[in-house]
Amino acid sequence: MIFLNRMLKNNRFQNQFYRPSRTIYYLNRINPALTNPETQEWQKTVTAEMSSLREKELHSLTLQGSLELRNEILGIRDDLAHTIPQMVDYNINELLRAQVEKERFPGETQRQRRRRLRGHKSFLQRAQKILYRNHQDSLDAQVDMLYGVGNTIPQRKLNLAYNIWNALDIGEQNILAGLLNIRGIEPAEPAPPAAPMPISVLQLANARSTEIDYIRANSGINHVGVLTPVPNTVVLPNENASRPPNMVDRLVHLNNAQNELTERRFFGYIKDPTVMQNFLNSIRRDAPELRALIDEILVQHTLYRIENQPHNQALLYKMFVIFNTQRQTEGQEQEQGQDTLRRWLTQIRDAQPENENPPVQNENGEENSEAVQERNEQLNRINGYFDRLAETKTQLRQLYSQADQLGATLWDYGIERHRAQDALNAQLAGAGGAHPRAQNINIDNSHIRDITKLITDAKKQRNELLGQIRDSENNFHELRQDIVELLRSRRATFDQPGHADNNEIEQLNDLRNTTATDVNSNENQIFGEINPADATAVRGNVGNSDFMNYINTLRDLQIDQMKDQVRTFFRGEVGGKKRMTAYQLLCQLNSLENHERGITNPELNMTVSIAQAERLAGRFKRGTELFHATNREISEAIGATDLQRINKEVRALFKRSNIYTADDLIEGITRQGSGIEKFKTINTTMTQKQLHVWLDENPEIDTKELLLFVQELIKSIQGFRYSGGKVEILDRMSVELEELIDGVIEPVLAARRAIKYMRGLELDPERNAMHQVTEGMTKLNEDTAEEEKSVLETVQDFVQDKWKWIKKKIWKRDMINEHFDTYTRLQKEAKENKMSRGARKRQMQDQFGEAASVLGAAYTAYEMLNTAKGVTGWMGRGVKNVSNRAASTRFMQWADRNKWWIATAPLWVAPYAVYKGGHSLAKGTWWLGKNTIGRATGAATKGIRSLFGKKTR
Amino acid sequence: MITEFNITTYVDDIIAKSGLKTDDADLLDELKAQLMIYIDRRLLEAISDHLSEQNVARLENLANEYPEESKINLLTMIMPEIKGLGEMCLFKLDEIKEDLLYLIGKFQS
Repeated sequence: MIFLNRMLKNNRFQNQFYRPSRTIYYLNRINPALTNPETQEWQKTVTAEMSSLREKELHSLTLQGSLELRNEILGIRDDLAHTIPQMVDYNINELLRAQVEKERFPGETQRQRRRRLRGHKSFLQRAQKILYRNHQDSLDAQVDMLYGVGNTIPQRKLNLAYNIWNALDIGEQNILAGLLNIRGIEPAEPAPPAAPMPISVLQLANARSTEIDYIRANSGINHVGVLTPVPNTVVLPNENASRPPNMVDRLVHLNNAQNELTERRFFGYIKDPTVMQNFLNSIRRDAPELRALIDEILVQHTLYRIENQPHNQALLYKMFVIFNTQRQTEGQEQEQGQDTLRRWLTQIRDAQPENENPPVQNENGEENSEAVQERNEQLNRINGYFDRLAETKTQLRQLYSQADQLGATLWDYGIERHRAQDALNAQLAGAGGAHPRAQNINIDNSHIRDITKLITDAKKQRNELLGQIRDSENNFHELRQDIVELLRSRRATFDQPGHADNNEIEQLNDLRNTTATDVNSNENQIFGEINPADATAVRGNVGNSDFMNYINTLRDLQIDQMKDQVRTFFRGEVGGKKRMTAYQLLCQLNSLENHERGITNPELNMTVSIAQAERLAGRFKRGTELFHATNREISEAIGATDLQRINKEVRALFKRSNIYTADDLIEGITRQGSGIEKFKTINTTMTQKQLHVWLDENPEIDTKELLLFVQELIKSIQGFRYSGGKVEILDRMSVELEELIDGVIEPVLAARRAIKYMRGLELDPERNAMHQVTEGMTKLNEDTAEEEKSVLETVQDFVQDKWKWIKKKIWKRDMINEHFDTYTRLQKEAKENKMSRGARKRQMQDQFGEAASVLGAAYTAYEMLNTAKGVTGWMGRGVKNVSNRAASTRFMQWADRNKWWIATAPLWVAPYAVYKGGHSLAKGTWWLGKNTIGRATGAATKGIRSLFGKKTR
Repeated sequence: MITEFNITTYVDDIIAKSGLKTDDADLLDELKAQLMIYIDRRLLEAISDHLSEQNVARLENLANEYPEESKINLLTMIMPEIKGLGEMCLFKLDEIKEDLLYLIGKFQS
C-alpha cells in the first residue's frame, strides 16, 4: 500500500507539475521582474551594442581587431549570463517574501499553509531554472548569430574552438588564419571586397586539431607578430600556372611579410631539432630535385647535430636563402643553386669531425683523445651500416621484381592449365561423360601434364626465391636495428658528463627553465577561458614543480617507456598548458622514434598505410557501415541485459557445436554440405599473397564459384544470426570475413575478371586494336557495375532481414497497444459466433502470427481485470478520490489507454496482494486466488514470459 | 601534388604508352571515358576506408552537384584537407596505370 500510495502520489504530483497552466501561472508571476522598464531598457542597450559589434566585426580589417571584438563580446555575454539570473533570483525572493507575509486563507491550518508555500517555492525554483536556461540559450544564440553561424554550431564546439584558439600563441593564430583561408572555407556572410577575411568562429570550429598539431610540429614559429594570411594560390614566376602553397611557401611568405627574416630570427624559429628536421623534410618533399641533397643533409644532421652549432646554423640559413632564391627564379639558377648547396654541404661534412665539432672533453676539461677516436669509429660504423642498408634495399628490390615476374608466369600457366582442362572436359562430355577407357577413346592430355610440370618447377623456383627474400628482409631489419642501437648509444655517450657538448647542456637547461617559466607565468592566461568540462582536470592536484620533475625524469627512460608515461600523464591528471606540453612532448618523441628507426622519409610511413588500406579497402565498406549501425541499433533496441543473455546463449550454442573461430564456422558449413568441398582449405587468416598461391594451386576453381562460396558464407552467418541473435563472436567472425572479402578475395576477383575480359576478346586483325580494347573496357565496366549492384542488393537484403528481426522484438512491445483493439474485436466476434477454442486460436494465429500468443495473454489479463470491478474501483479510487463506480469507469478508461501496463499488472499488484494477505506471501497468494485478480495475474505472467522469449508453461 | 593532377593527361599518357593508335576521334573519346570509369572505381575502392564519414558525405554531395565530373577531380577538391591522402592517391594511380598497361599489353600480345 505504501508503495502504491507513493507511486500514485508521485503520479499526481507529476501530473500537477507538468500541467501547463500551472507552469504558465508561475512564470507569469515572475515575468514582471523581467518586463519592468528598467530591465527592458538595459536589454535594449545590450542588444543594440551587440548589433553594433556585429557590424563592426564584419567591417574589421585585421585579425587582431577581430580578436578584440570577440573578447568584448564574450565579456558582454558573461555579464548577461550572470546578471539576469541574479535579477530573477532577487525577484523570486521578493515573491516568496510576499507569499509569506500574506494572510492565511480562510480555514487554512498552519501546516497547510506551510505546505502551500513549500510547493510555491519548489515551483518558483523550477521556473527559475527554466528562465535561466532560456536566457542562456538566447545568449548563446546571440553569440552564434554575431559570428554568422546561426544555431548550427553547438556550444560544446564553440567552447572547443575558443579553447583551441586561446591555446595558440599569436603567431600560430596567424598561421591558422592563413591555413583556414587557404582551405577556402567561405564565411557565413561575405566580407566586403578587397578586405582580408577575418577569422570566424565557424572556421575555427571547423579547424581540426590535427591541423593545429601540424602547425606546431612543422612551423616552429613563435611570436612572429601579425601576418597577412598566406594567399590561396602561389603563382610560379616563370610558368603560367598556380598551385596551393606548401610549407616552404609559407616560410617564404613569412619572410616576405616580415621583410626582415634575419639569420637570428630564422634560427629562433627552428632551434628545435625536430622542427629543423621537419623543415628539411618539407623541402625534400616539395622539391624533388633536391631530394638527394637533403637526404645527405639529414644524415649529416643526424650525425653531427648541426643545428646546435653556430657555424652550421649559418650554413643552413644560407642554404635556406639559396633555396628560396632558387624557388623565386624557378630554374634559372637551379644548377648554380645546387652547386652552391653541394659546396656548403661538403663544407659541413668536411668541417664536422675535425674542426667544427667542439673537442670532446673529460671531467677535467681536457681533451679526451679516446673519446674522439671512439666517436669517429662510431661514425664510420654508422656510415658503413648506411651503405650496407642501401645495398640490401637494392637487392630486395631486385628480388621483389623477380618474384613478381615469376608470379605472372605462374598465373599464365594456371590459366593455360585451366583452359586445357576445360578443353579436355569438353572432349569427355562430348564422348558421353563416361570414362575414356570404358569407351575405348584416346584422350591426349599430354599438354596438361606438360603444363603441370612447368607449374611444379615454377613453384620450386618461387619457394627458393621466397626464402631469399625472407633472408634479405631479415638482414634489412637487422641492419636497421643496428643503426638505431648505434645512434642510441651515441646519444647516451654524449649525454654523459665529460662527453657532452657544453653548448648542448646549456640549451637543454634553457629549454627546461623556459618551459618552467612559461608554465608559471602563463598559467592564468592559459586557464582563463578553459572549457568548463576540463575544469576538473585543471583543478588536479599536480603542481608545477611536480610536473617539471616528472618531465625531467623522462629523459632517463627508454623512448617507449617515455611515451607510455607521457600518455598516462596526458590522460588527465593535469589540464591546459601542462597537458599541451605533454602532448607536444609525445609528438616529439614520436618523431624522434621514427627518426631512430630510420624513417626520415614521410613516404615510408605512407607505404605502411597503403598496405593497411589495401587490406581493408573494398566496396563492402558501405555494407559494413550499415551492418555495424544495425548492430548498435539492435543493442539499443533489446537492451544490455538481454544482449548479455543472448551472448551467453549463443556462446553455449557454439560450444556445443565446437565452433570457436571463423575457420571452425567455415569448416562447419562445408561439413554441413554446402557442396563446395574444394574451398575447405581456404581460411580467413590467408593473406592476399597466400590466396594468390592457393588459387595458383587450384586453377580449376572458377571465379563465379569463389564468389558463390563467399555468398554462402555470408548466408551462413546470417543463418546463425537468425537463430541466435546478435553476439560478439559473430561480430568477430563477420569482421574477419569482411576483411577476407575486402582485402583478399575482391582484389583477386577484380584482377582475374579484368584479365578474363581482355583474354576473352577474340583478336580480329581486320579491326582496329583500340576498338577492341574499348569494347573490352566497356564490357568490363558494365559487368562490374552490374556485379556491384548485385552485391549491394545482397547487403541491402541482409540488412532488411535483420531489421525484420529487430522489429519482431520491438513489435512485441508495441503491438499490444497497436493491435489490442483488433484482437479484442475478433475474439468477441468469434465468441458470438460460437467458434470453438481451437478455431479461434487458429484464426488469431493466421491474423497475428507469432504475436497472437502475446496478444492473447494481454487480452486475458485485461478481461480478468475488467470483470474484477472491485479491484478496478479500488485502483480508481487511488487515482481519483471519487465513488467506486466512477473510479471503476475512470480506471478502465486509463487502462484502455495503457494496455501495456495492464499486461504487466502482476509487477505492481503483487505487493498489494502480499499486504492484503497479511504481510505473507502465502496469504497473499490465497487472497489473489480468492479474488478474480489472481487469474488476471496468471494470464499476465504468461504474457510477460512470452514477451521476453521464455516458454510458457 | 595531387591537386595538380589532371585525369585527361593521365589517360592520354596511358594510351600513348600502350601503343594504341587511331584516327577516329569518337573511338578515342569512348576509350578515354571507359578508362576513366575504370580508374575512378579502382581509386575509390582503394581509398574509401581512408575517408571519414564526413568526407564521404562531402564527396557524395560533390558528386551530386557535379554528376559529370570525374571522381578524381572531385577528390582533389577535398584533398588538401586530408593528410596523406594525396600521396596515397598518387601511389594508387601509379599502380592502376601499371595494371592497365599490363592488361592492354596482354591483349595486344
